Amino acid sequence: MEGRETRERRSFPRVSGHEPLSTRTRAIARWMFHGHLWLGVITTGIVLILSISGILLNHKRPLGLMPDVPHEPTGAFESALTLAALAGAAAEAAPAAAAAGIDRMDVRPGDGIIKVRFDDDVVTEVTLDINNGEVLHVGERNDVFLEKLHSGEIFGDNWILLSDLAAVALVILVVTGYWLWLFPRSRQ
Amino acid sequence: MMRAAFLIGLLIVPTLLLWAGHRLRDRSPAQRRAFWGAVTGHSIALVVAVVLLHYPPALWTDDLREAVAFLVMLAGSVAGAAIGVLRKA
Repeated sequence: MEGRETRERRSFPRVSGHEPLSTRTRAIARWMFHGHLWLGVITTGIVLILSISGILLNHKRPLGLMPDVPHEPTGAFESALTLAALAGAAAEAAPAAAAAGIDRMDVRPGDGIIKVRFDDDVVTEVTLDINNGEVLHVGERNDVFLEKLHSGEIFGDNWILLSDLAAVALVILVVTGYWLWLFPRSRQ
Repeated sequence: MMRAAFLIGLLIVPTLLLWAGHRLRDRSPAQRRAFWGAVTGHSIALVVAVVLLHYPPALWTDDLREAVAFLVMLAGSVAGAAIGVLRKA
């Protein structure tokens, strides 16, 4: 009997209300407490990974995780070189990365540049002037790795569900946390 | 296999530790030492895994870094529990 009371005290928020709690309210309180406790501990690792990768992604430019090439257009967009010519110039600038193939080409008409991203392990990106094909920068897109880690995609296609799990867990932790904080006060 | 070990270390081990942490006072001293050893081992391994997963920020290429990052949480908790059991009070 004493053990049960001790357990009750530990797993149930103390309230100083005048009326005794109904069975349903006590059950909800227990679920909220244990849900918060178990979910908090179980998802610690995932939430930690999501948080750190999220912070790094948020500050990817100042941290130098992605190339930032300020540039003014050197000609009209209509007179830009063809995509094939620009891809060739990028491949000449980074032949080792080019062997892995092109992942994507990101055109920025406002800046007069194109970013050619290769499909190599370190995700090399070559930034070129779209009008004269001048290579402005060659560097690694480390934020791609962090994006994949953040979404869970890096582990495999279905692993994005792990990221979803962490997000749902965070929502539940917020709800149960608020309940555990406010419910005892509502009884005072 | 490695990814299964990573999932076990990330989700199953904390669940088991949480479950084992209930009624800890009713357990034998060796079990209590194993519990605290596993908690310590897993906590340290979690930090190691998080660092290895993020740094350097380049895609993994099935090398030692990936292997350690994936296995360390499971191995750390098991090693911690073993050390706890073997350690004399």
